Amino acid sequence: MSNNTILEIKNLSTTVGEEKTPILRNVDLTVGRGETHIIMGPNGAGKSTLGFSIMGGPAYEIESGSIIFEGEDITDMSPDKRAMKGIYLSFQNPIEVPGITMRSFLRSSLQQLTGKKIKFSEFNKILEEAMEMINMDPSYVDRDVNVGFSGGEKKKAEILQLLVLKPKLAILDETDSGLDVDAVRTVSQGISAYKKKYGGTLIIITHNAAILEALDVDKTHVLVKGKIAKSGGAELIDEINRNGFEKYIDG
Amino acid sequence: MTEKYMINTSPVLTFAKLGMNGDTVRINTSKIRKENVEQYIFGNGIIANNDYEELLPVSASGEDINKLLSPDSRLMTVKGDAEVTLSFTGSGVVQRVIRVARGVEATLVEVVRGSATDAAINSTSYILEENARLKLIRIQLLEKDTLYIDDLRAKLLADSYLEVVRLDMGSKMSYIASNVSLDGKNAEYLAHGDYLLNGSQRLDINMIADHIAPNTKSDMRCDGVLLDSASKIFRGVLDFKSGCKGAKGAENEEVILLSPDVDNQSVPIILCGEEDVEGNHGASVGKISDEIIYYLMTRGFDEDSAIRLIIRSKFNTLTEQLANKELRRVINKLVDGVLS
Repeated sequence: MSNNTILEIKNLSTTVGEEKTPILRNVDLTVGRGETHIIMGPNGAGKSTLGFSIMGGPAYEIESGSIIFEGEDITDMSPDKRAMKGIYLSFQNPIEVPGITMRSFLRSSLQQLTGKKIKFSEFNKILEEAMEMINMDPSYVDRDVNVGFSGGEKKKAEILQLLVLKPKLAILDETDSGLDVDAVRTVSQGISAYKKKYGGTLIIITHNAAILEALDVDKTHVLVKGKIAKSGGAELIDEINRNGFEKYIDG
Repeated sequence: MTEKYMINTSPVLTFAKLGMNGDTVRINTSKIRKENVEQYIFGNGIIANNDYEELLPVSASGEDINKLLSPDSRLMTVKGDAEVTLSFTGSGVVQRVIRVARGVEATLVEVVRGSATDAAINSTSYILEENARLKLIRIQLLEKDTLYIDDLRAKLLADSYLEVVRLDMGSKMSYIASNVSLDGKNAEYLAHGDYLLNGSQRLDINMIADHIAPNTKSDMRCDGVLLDSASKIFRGVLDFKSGCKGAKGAENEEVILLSPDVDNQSVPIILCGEEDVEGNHGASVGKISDEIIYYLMTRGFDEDSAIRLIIRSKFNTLTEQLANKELRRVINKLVDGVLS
């Protein structure tokens, strides 16, 4: 592992359910600090499972392999510990938490992650700055977490959390799905700001090239039937957009 | 003298061996005194007046409750928003009739506190006249050595609206009976009860929505959290009487069980004496979903903190309705104490 490597997945195989249905099969992935990696693949290929596995999702059983983050084996670490190490997962279907405002939730979360008490005034400054980056209506943060938000608002709120929590590595699981053209652009700006301003590292699971317009992609991986069928540079995205996944599925 | 009283008897009986038809409670009535209950009224929204008499609605507690009540009631009229504290300094009984006059709209916050080892009995009837709207928030924070009997009755005249929001956290054993009689057409009743029980606390609920007039509506919700070896029984009755055409009623429960030793029973009952009605029931009983805990864990909360946050946030939705910041602080502190 080079000094520049932030995440190294070695020979990872996962299953789901009591019947141990295999999902990921011997996946290897190395991500350098500050890089942007794209994960593409047909439905059911295991893309979300890969994201959940990096973030300690309890629904998936790791059968073999390891996940190394900044040189430390986190394979058996609980999700909260992984978050404290600096990993963030933007959910494809963000959860609603009635009774707690986004403002209060994010402040508590930031305090948990940093282990420091953050004054309201100081926090509000951080929050306002993040909201500005993605043109978010200030009223959203005084509503309960994701409650009554549209699909697009929920995704935007996940990016708001990203900009407030400033993790070292962010996994974005189809953050662009269900968004209209303008919202994709806004979210894309937010992701770009995270990378440029905070030197963030990204793993982006997506079907949509539009979200990548404002980003420099370092590597693209095609995941098919739980395996990485092909890795390449940004050019692979165009190739898939033209020809689809067929040749990888058949291959 | 200690005697046995039947309490919270279900209007429709099931197999006796299930122990769900009602309960028997032993009370030493000689120790129960009216003087042991003080009523403090804050604000000008509610006034005591003895010039109002009305036939009391029937209790959901059962016939025996009348043996425990004193014959004279405290009569009051709601003019606007008010807060009332009922403070038990020992075993006591209070019987009140609260009238909300035609067209009046008000929020009434009632806090029940204190300690009563034999029994704390609170029997209150609310009469809502035509077009009256009352939001009643009742917070029960009695000491944990108390046996509490809460007998809420209401009569809703035409086009009136009653919303009952309640929180039951205190006392060792609580019997909550409420019978809301929707007497006038288009009357509407909304109830949302929350409870948080730990140790060996027990809560016995008997809620009835009695649909008498046409186009009446009721929606009863009862949500709570059981910890340690706490137990709860919920009997919810939607009673559609003949003639209540177009009436709609719903009853729902959400119970979070946080220990393998808790005991949770539910008895939803829908009685139909009228064809043209709609009655719905739903219940969700179990743990907090893994999905929501996981989401919070990915944001840095350990599992225990995540569970605490979820429960605390459930009670936030209730406390946020309280204008009294001090009361809000007291409840939040109690909730945190139970969850710590």
